[in-house]
Amino acid sequence: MEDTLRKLARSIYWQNLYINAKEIGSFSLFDNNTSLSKIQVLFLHWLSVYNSVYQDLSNEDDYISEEVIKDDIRTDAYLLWRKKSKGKKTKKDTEENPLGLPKIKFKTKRKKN
Amino acid sequence: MEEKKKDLQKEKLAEEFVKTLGNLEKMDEVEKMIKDNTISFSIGDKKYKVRKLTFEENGLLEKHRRTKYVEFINDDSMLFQKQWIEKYKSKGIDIDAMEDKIRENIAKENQIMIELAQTAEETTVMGYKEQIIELRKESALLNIERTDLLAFSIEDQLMVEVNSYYTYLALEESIENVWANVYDCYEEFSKSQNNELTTKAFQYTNALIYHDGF
Repeated sequence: MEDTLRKLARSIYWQNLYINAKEIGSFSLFDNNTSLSKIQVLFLHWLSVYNSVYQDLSNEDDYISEEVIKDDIRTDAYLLWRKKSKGKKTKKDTEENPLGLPKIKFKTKRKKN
Repeated sequence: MEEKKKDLQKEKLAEEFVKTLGNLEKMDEVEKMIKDNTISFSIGDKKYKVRKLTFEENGLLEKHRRTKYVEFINDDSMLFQKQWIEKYKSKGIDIDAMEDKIRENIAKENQIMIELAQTAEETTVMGYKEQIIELRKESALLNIERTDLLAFSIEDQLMVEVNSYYTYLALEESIENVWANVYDCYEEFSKSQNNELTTKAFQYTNALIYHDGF
């Protein structure tokens, strides 16, 4: 069932509904607003995952294409690669800047001769 | 020869058509299941639904879980998963080794996936995908074997009991447009001969709730 759920979640129809539901508070994806079922929670997860993947696609990020999105195994591979490469980037950033402070470069005025 | 070729093409087209139709039906069914936290279905001319439980019904479910748990732990013929694993080990069946193999397969799969993510070359992609599918198949078979071996454990039996009781409480039938419980009591549900109804109800209940039998 999960493959069908993913197919629906990556469809333009459901992605549009998802974006609208995020932007318009009164707009609901489901008939029920509370007490979500397991399948609804799982579906929301995949909507969010594919939403982020489509954003990567529009940003022309590495290794993502329409062809990859259509293929569950290749999408899984891309998600794992993205997670690992982001993890590496975050680790590198933390090592270079452990306090997470914004980088400020101070310029010293040159003495006039 | 030419006609045979045409027949084969027709057969292939028909197969593809049936497959596409099946996929569309499946998508339609899943889409219906997503829309609400109740799932309606029909058998013949009868309409049924499963729904989430009320607060009071959840209390009944918890009580049933407790009662069954006490019953199981007082039954000397029933063992926990850990005890079954030890018993099987003494007979040369190593469930821990199966779990280790599954973990090993996941680690291998992840390594291949990282390589797969970074390539678009068709033959390489196919090769990596085949390796991943093989690993997943092997893990799935091991998982089925493990599940079968532990099916009589207290944990698994309790989960079956809880899911059955949930289905009994959540299953309703539309009678003159009014929803009413199909079975008057759990015993009646347990003895039901209507396999089509109970199987479908179990399947849909499974889409509603998380497995938290234990």
